[in-house]
Amino acid sequence: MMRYYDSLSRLIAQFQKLPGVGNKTAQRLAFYVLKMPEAEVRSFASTLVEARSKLLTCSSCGNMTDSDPCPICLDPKRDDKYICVVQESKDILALERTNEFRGRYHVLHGAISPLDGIGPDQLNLKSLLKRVQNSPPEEIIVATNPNVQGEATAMYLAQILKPLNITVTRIAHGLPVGGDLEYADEMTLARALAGRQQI
Amino acid sequence: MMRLDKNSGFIVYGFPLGEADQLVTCFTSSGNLIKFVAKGSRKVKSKSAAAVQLFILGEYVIYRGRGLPILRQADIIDSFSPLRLDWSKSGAAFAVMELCRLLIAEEAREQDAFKLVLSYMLHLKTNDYDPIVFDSFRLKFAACLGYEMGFSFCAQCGRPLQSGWLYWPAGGAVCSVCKGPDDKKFLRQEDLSLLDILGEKDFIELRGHFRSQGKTATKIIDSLINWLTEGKTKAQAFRPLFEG
Repeated sequence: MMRYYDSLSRLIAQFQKLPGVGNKTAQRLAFYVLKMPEAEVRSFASTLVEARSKLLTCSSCGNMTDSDPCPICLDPKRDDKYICVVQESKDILALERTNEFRGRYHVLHGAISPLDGIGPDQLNLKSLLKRVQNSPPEEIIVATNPNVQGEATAMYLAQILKPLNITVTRIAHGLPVGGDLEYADEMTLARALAGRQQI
Repeated sequence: MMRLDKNSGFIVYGFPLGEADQLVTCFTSSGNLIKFVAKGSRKVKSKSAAAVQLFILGEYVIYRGRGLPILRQADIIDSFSPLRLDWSKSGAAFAVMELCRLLIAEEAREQDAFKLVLSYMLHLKTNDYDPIVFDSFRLKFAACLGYEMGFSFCAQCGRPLQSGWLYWPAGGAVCSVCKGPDDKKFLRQEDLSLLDILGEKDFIELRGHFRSQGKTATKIIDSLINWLTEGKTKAQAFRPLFEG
């Protein structure tokens, strides 16, 4: 086979390594990249390499960052009284979009999942305990995903933080904004009713 | 040809697929495992998200086309909510779901095993977690799948046992004559009778009993599960964490 086709098939194979990208999508992406101006392709490739080499994990909160500690941990305007515990760095981006939370974060890098062999030792929990012991917050908000693994992680956190006399709260579960009540499942509705608020 | 199937069963595993989908494994009331894609089930506004969570007993309408089966409609029969909010109960439920996933085949017809899982999950929902009841479930589950173990008589020669040696491939405990030269775990008379009781009595009858002998029974049944799953079980290692 010609060398041209070798490099093209290698490019397709590289795109296929990305999550959710199958053969067809990989082909489409590869041909799109080939049509891009060379300068743009170079910039795209160097950004990828730069991001991979420069990004590191914040030693305090576990967030992905360019500098250690991360900008959120360094921000003096942030409220030290609250720590929001999330599963992944991308969850911080989602919470930051709300502009509602001005406390600090802690990233666990996963959730307790016995079926996948993931226990507390595989999570970024030691640094959370160290952080909490050094400067105890008033409240820890557990914002893990609302699934069984997320709930198990929240329960475990509540157990280990209880002796430290810190209020541990869980983000509310309920109906999404804009949805129709008739389409909600009974589990979500039950949680929404349990977490109702006075108006 | 388009084909729609309706199945009821427990969700025993979910694996993230693509952007927001999940590849779900369900242990159906017909006693087999089915796998299907729940499209968009990881999105907050998904209609099927809650119904494809672990431990859920639900009814699932599945479209079988040329590729992987796709979930078309899902309804929750029982959410087993108390299990999600109790540390020990969720630990046991994780282990139950793993056993189903590892030991049930896709073409199986293990309806008795399904009934047993359902009765244990219902027991767990309304009662406190008890390690001895969980061990009884595991022993009975193995029996349902054709691995009924005997502890009163030698599994090889049929001689009544006062004490014995553990030998799973033979079908339970064996006598000193049938033991062979290999190193096997010795079982005292009280261990043998406890294992017999665990295999026979109802969950309710076992509740709160045999606390002192519980750890020995757990170790023995752990070794049975390891033998059956060829050491593939992961949830078992977390049992001390959930029980502690």
